[in-house]
Amino acid sequence: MKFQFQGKLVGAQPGDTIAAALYRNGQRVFSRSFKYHRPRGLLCVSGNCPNCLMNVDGVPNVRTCIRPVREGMKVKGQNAYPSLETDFLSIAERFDWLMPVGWYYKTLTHPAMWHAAEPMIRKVAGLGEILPSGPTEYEHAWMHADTVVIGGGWAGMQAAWSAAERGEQVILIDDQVALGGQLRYRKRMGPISDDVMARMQAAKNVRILQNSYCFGLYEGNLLGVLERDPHADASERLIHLRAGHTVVATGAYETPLLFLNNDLVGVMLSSGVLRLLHLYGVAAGQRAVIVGPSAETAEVCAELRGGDIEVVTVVEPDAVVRAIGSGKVNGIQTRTGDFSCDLIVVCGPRVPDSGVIAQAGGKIEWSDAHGAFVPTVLPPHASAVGDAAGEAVANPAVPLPAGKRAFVCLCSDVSSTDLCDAIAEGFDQIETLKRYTTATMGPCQGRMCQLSSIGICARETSRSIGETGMTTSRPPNPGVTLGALAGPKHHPIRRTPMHYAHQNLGVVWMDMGDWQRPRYYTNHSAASETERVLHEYRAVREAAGLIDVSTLGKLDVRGADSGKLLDLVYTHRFSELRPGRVRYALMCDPGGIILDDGTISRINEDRYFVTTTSGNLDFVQQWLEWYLGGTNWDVHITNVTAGYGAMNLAGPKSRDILSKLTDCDLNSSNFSYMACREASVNGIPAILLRIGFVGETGWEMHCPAESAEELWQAILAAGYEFGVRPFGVEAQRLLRLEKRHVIVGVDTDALTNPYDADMGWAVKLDKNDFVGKALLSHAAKDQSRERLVGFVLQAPGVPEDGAAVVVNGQPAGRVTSSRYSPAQMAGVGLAWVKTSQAQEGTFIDVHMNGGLVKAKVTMRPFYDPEGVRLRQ
Amino acid sequence: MQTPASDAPMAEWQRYRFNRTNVAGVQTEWWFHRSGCRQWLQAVRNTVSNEVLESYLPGELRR
Repeated sequence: MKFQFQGKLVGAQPGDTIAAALYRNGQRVFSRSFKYHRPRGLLCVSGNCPNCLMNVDGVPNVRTCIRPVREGMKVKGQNAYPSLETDFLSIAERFDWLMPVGWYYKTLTHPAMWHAAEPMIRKVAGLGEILPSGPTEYEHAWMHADTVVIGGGWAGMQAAWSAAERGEQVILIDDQVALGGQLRYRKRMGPISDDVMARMQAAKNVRILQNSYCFGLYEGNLLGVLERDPHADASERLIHLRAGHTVVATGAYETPLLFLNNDLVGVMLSSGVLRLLHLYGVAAGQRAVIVGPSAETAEVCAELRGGDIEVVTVVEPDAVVRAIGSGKVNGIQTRTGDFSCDLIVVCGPRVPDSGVIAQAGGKIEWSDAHGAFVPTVLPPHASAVGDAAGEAVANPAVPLPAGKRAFVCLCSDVSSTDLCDAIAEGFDQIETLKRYTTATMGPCQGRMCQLSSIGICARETSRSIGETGMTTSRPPNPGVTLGALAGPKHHPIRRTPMHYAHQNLGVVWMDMGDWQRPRYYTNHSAASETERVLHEYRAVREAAGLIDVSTLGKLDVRGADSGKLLDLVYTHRFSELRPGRVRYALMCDPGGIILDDGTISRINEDRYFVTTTSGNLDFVQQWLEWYLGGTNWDVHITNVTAGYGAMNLAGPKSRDILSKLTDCDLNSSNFSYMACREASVNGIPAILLRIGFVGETGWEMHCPAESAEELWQAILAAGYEFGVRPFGVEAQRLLRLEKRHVIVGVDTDALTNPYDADMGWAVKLDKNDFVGKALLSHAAKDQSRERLVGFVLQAPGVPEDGAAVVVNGQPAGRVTSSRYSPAQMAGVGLAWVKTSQAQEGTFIDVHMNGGLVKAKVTMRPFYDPEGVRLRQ
Repeated sequence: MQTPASDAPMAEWQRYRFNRTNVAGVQTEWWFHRSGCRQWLQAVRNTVSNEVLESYLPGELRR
């Protein structure tokens, strides 16, 4: 197997992680430190420290020590220029005296200094580079289990197996490539029982997620789990996992000891050395010095000798003075003399991995007996087993160097000296110390440095470790890529029943929420968007146009009390609406703010047909049901949006066209403006509403979705001789703007009431009680608010949506919609202005092309102000 | 919190709209089961411990 590292091919053996393969091939420097760009090598080899972070296939900050090699992957170092071995930025260390903890709060005290320094800091700071369009594919999944076990070590396997034997559905999450935890590399603990392993893998009720980690335990026992390489089509899968019970079996991890130069390449944790040796057959060095308490070092010493690594000497932690070497270890200075070596093996204190317990609300407290923080109170529905519960953890007291510069936090280069200085400056509580120095806040989230930083804080403030306490890591921990959180790149699209009819005509689409709607059609020789839209516009004004409005939210509201509910929730009166009539419907919140609009048709005594704006359907339905909650009213609300296709035929010829297809008498004497009928059109049962927000004679038709395309085609065919054309959203917006119709959410915002929007006519304050009545009664008299008015530009051009309105040189409002109006032969639009300007004929200035243009305010529609045409 | 009457003074509406007490403790809440049965329900919940003490359909109003 081969992969690329810094552009060169590197060989790997089956089962290798990236770091193991690189180490075998002689690579020793794996990263450059965050601040001083010191060379760093492998330390934990278990995914707990920041030392092996690299860029893999364009994804930064990958923990290469636990990422299996795949054929052909591209790996490169990060945070170094030009290379990991020679990094010019390591000059930063020469200036460390300029950069104490919090240096830019202290040094860059003047805004001008910050502005001068910022570009350079931005360039140098940070870790890794993001490739905006990486090749990585992400996936989301949802799973459930009676018992979820986090950690595939011996304790986790036992917990999973006993739950499985009880007949429970079990999911076992393990962040390594194979189960076994420490058993895989600590030979003295005995081999893994093949029997248990085989039975577990065979059991139908046990699912093992390898290469996966839990990054958070959330409310309701919801676990966030990230699975690497779940299958060939996805590189990461984020699993929303609901557990009946969670067993935390995350084990314990080893942490570094503090001494001068303790971060040199060649200083490794004993567990890391054993992992390299037994999992990958790689000797970490040739001549090793082991540092650690005698109880811990014996096993390591025997293992190293068995692995052909010469053990030069074994040293107690308090006898170490410093590691010798520049960049790489070539010796160690101790109280009993200097020794030459190429590897310093550190047996550090073992810390129960209880982050997930603390973050879920459990309690973690210091225990002298364990020499560690251990969980004492567990969150509901969770338990801890094995080393995570502190079982086999018994750390002797760890010596801390007195003020000497040893690296505590490897992620952000915080030394013991930095911590002491910060404490001297007054940051003597562990929480403030963390935030000021950023120790425990890097990629490893305190795994390597929490115990030592607490130890130093305790010593410097003459408190016990228990009194000093610990900080809580927050999820996600370990980190999760934003791509995994965002999920797959595709998003679901809703298509109307006429989708393929539009496509066959030739169309430019626009996304509206989940829906795709025709923006304009391209089945015309006109070349530009503007011309195509104008062509569709003229068809509606002069002959007829047909638009797909299937995206409208549609609710079927039935029952004897339907009118009562609609009276309560909408501002107009619907209980007294006669069957066969339609009314504009405006919905406000209790503060009188416009929430949604649509139409309500009374089909018969007990049945209303409610339409909502496309994006608000879910909300409107919930809102209606909420007001229904707790009453015993006879109302049934059914969402029929997907069940009906809908289209609007509008224009002077629309009656001629539709008459060819239906027996229903369409003359205004029988079918007047704002009437509705159930009728058969081209043999298709439909609800016909005579409404027209584009300002022409027209009918909105709702028919069963499965027949909608047929009806669409039938109307286009019947209308061919009259010059009917399909029109899209762009033409519709121009047509409705000429009628000065408001689009809720475009022309209105979260502060708009109906009086502001000049729609007071839709509010019936003399109704009994309704939602928003109290504040609307007040708003009806309020003259201090802004008003939405129409304007006609007095010069050529069209201002942009959002352009400023200026009166007497002062900002006085803004434009919400504007278009070129063929009816006015000028730019027209809607704008918010002060009430004093909301008078017919007043002049305002509108910002356009960097200057100001005069515009005349109007409170009337720009087209057919008397509404003659739509009543014809 | 009880919705004020339509003709209640503005000050009372202002309190209702903008000056709600952020209860640290037990309060009655409305919940909507959006991804499930689409049913509104009420829950008596402790906002500190996030413990749900009881839940019921709005028709079964307890207080």
